[in-house]
Amino acid sequence: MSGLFYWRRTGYLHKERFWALRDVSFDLHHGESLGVIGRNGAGKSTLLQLLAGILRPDQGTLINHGVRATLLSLQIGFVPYLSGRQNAILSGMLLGLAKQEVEEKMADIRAFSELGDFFDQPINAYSSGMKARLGFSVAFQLNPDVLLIDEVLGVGDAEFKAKSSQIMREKIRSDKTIVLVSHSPGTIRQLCDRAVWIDNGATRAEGETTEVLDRYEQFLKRKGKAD
Amino acid sequence: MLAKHYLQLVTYKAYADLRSEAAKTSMGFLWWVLDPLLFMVIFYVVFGLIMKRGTENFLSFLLIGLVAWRWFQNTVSHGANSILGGRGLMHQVYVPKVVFPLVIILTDLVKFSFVFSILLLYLLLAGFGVGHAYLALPLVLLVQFVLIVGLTLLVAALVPFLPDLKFLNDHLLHVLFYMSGIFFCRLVHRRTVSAVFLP
Repeated sequence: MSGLFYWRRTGYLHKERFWALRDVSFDLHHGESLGVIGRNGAGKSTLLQLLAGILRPDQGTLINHGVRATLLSLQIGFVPYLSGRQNAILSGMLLGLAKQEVEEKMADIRAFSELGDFFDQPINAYSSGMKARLGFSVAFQLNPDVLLIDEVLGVGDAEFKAKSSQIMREKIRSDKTIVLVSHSPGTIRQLCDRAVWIDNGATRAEGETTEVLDRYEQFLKRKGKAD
Repeated sequence: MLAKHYLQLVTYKAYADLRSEAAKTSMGFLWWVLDPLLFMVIFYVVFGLIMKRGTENFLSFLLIGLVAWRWFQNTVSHGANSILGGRGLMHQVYVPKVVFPLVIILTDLVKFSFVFSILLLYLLLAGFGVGHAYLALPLVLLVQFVLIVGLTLLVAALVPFLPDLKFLNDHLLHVLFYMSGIFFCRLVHRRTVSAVFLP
């Protein structure tokens, strides 16, 4: 089976480009939580964008048996001067929910965001923490076949962070299919059944979480000594 | 199903952008009318009063031309940047790229309809009755709309590959503006155009 390849271009008319992903290869099974680990710039986020269908691989095949994969994006498409409610609709629609679905879930979104009366105020009056709470509350309503998560688990102030992180962990541990990207072995060890380690855009290991993480940590240690 | 979803997205996004734009300034959506109005006043003063290019009914002639022109120019010029401007969004979520220029086309259509209604009102008040020519109006508007949609989508698709085109685009529109029949009456214009194209 061929892996995934993706060129990172600096522009369409320029020659400068490099492989952001070179031969990344793994399987994702229904109902599992797959952790993707690697250092900064390893190609983790590019991989998620490929899985979400945002980017198309330049080489290799991505076999998708008709499932919808969505990247968990917070505060996406927020427009200033509109109320929290209107932004929730817009953001939810961008994330793939039908307008009606968002409206049905509006009570939940409002309650979870803890914004109270501010929910119907324009969001330019919000603090960044309030915006983060709204963004999370909307994105959490997502229910795609495969949920792709890039680092973010909890957002906002300490209290909301604990609450959002808790509910997100529950979602990951449930029988949903999840791909979780992180550079922290701790998070992946806690939440994922299987893991893939990528470095420099290529798969270094794939398999049981503990096995892969042990190899990753050994690699980091060796790297640390060498430096 | 999906097409319906993205159609809903286009309408809601257009609605959101219009609301947001109106809320940004204290006079709100009055600017959609005031802005073109000021533009037209300037043209009237420069070409009608100072340069005395005016013919009979010059003001009405100018207003009709400018209203139609600004619809065309604004949409194409805004649309040129639409896909490039949506870069941040499209790196986070899959959205068919055509959504971005469609939103622009829709918002500019709404703004145009405001201005156009006021133009019709003005023409009635200025004593131009509704004649047979009005029957052709829907078709003329439709033709212009189709032209705008086609050109906007094309330019929007090209600019991400050739960002330089964005600058060229504005100047080309400018040239086109002075070539159009906005402040020359038809006969004068025909002579000028022949002079340019058929020396």
